[in-house]
Amino acid sequence: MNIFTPQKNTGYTLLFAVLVTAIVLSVAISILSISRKEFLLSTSARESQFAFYAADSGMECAAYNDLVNGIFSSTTTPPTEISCANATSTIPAPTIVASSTNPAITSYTYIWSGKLGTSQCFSVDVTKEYDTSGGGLSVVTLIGSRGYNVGWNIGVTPPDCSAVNPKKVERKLLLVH
Amino acid sequence: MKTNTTQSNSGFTIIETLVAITILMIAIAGPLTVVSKGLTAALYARDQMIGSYLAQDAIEFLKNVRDNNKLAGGSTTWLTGITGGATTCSQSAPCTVDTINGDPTGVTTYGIVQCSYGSPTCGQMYLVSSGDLGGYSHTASGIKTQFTRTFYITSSSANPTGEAKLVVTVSWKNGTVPNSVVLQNEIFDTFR
Repeated sequence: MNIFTPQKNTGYTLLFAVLVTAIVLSVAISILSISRKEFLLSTSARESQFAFYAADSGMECAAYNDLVNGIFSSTTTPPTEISCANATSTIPAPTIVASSTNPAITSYTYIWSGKLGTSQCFSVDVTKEYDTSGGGLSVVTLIGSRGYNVGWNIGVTPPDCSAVNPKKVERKLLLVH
Repeated sequence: MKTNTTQSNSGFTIIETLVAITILMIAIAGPLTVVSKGLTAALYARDQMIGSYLAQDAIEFLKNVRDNNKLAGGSTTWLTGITGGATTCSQSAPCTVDTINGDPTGVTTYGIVQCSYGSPTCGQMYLVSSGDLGGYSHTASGIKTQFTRTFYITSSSANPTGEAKLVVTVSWKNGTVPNSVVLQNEIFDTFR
C-alpha cells in the first residue's frame, strides 16, 4: 500500500530558486564583463597617451637637434651622442644605404633611444636622404619616433625600449621635412 | 504492524531552514557585490578617460602657446606666458590653465594662472555646456566637477634655454579614493 501519495507541485520551489539565482547571476556577470572591458579600454587609452607623448618628446628632440643644432647635417663627423629629457643617449654609427634605383641618393640613418620620466621610453630614427641627381644637393629628412609607456631596458648597451611588458603600448610619429 | 511511524518529510527543521536562508543569502549577496564592483569600475573608467583627455587638453594648449610665441618672434621668448614673466609655473608653485577662456596667442589673456592653494583658480573645474565652447573651465559657471588640473614646467639642466619638461597633473576622487593622471612631455625651442 502506498501511503505517500506523490504531490503534483513537488520541486517547484527549488526550480524557482535555481531560476532566480541563474537570472541574477547572469545579469551580474554581464554587467561585470561590460565594466571590465570599459576599465581595460580606459586604461589602454591612458597608457596610449603616455606612449604618444613619449613619441612626441623624442620627435621634438630629434627635430630640435636637427633644425637648431644641426647635429645630423655632417656625414663626415656623425653625431655620437644626443641629449634629450636630461639624459644623454649614445648614437651608434649610422647605417648608410645607397639607393638601388637611383645611385645619386644615399641615406644615413641614425637610431637611438631615450627615457622620459620614470618609465616612458622613445626610440627615434633619423634618416637623411642626400640626393645629388638634380645637379645640386637636396636633402630630405625623415624623423620616426616610437613612444612606449614602459619598456626601458638597461640590460643592453646602449639601453633601449626593448623590455618586455604585457602592458606595453607603442605609438609612432613620423616627421618629414 | 508498522504504519507510518516516521514523518521526516512533513516539514522543515530549523537546521534546514537556516541552511536554505544561508544559501539564498549567498546567492543574492554575491551577484549584488559583483554588480556594485562592476559599477564602481565603470565610473572609474569614465573618470580616467575624462582625466587623461583633460591632461592632453592642457599639454596641447601649452604647446600651442609655444608655437604662437615662436611665430610672434621679437621680444617674445618661446615660453612667454608659461614661465619667466608674471607666472613662473614651477613644481613648488604650479599653475592652472583655462583652455576655454584662455587665448594661446596671448593677445587677450593666456588663461594661465599661478596656483595659490585655496583660491578658486586652483580648485575643481567647472563643466560648461554652451554652444561651441563647451568644456572644462576654471571660471565659476556651469556644473562643478570633481576634477582639478595643475601643471608645471622645469627647464632641462643639460639644455636650459632650449628644452623644458611639461608635467600636467589631473586629480579627482572616486568617493574617497584619490586618483590622478600625470602626463609629461618634453618641449623644445622649435615648432612644426
